Amino acid sequence: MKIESINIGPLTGNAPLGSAKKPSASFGDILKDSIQKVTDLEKDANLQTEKLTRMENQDIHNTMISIEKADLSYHLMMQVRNKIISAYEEVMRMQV
Amino acid sequence: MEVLGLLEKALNIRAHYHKILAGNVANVETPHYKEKDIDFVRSLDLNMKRIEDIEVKEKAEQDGLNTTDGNTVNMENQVVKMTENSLYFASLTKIMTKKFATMRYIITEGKGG
Amino acid sequence: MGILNILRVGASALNAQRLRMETIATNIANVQSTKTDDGGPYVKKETTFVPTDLSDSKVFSSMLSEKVEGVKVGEIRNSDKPFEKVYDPGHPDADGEGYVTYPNVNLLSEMADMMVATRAYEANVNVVNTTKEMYLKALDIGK
Repeated sequence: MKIESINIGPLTGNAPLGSAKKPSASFGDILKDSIQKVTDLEKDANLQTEKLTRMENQDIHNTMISIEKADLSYHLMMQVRNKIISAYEEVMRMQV
Repeated sequence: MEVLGLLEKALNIRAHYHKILAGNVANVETPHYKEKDIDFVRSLDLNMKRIEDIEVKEKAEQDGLNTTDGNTVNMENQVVKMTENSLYFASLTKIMTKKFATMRYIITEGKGG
Repeated sequence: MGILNILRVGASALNAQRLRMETIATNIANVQSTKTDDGGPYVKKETTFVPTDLSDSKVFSSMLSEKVEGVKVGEIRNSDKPFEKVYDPGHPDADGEGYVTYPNVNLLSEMADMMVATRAYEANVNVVNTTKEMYLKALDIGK
């Protein structure tokens, strides 16, 4: 499933002045990495589901756990995304 | 997401398999009735127009001490197969439900139904 | 052993016990059969149980990749127990000295075997049912 990319442009922006050489990851990289992890969990859940469907694997408990993990990570991602958006909106509302 | 398509096909096959097993159980005393079975994993990969076109194998020999009426249905095996089939059916349904619930959650942006 | 392989093990045991019951039933039905097609009285049938690897079983169509140990009836053989001779010269199957050889089936021991087979059958039905419940509980993960 393709996940729509969150619009994170204004928040990543350019690196703050003077920190161009800092090795720390930018906020955008952290987000991308997290989204990748969510996708990986989903892929793992799909793989286990397929194995169960083909009767190659009888571990229903492991399959259910991996599906639940993927589901929870989606939930968490959505909540984080909502918070980011509302934080962004609040910032945009600030009187300059 | 092709896993949903696979789940749907598997559910269809399992539902049909249930009918076949029920037919076997109903005919446990019918003379010359041969026990029917399907190869589930093979059927998953075949493309059939209707689910009824799954190839059904018939068992020719009897288990146990032979009776003379030609019936080859093994009751215990049928019941256990039915149990297994229904367990798979329940798990595939549950998985599908969870997947749809996740999708719905994402579509509604996590703000409620 | 995956959880569903337990069902196969249960099925193999149910089959074996049912076969045992069939031989017991045949024995009890023939407790007075003094003449068979092979000549001589009916000989009691005995069964032996043997643990088997179910991976070779053609019964269940999925793949069993690991060793799954069930049970099957090893052989159904004739019993060596002694026959009972009863003096009854008027009987159509009496031999030269007037003795009739009755089958070596002891009704009481067949009844006892039948109870054991029944209990074993019930226990295995329990195995199947409990396995099913455990599995369904696992489906509640994340409910």
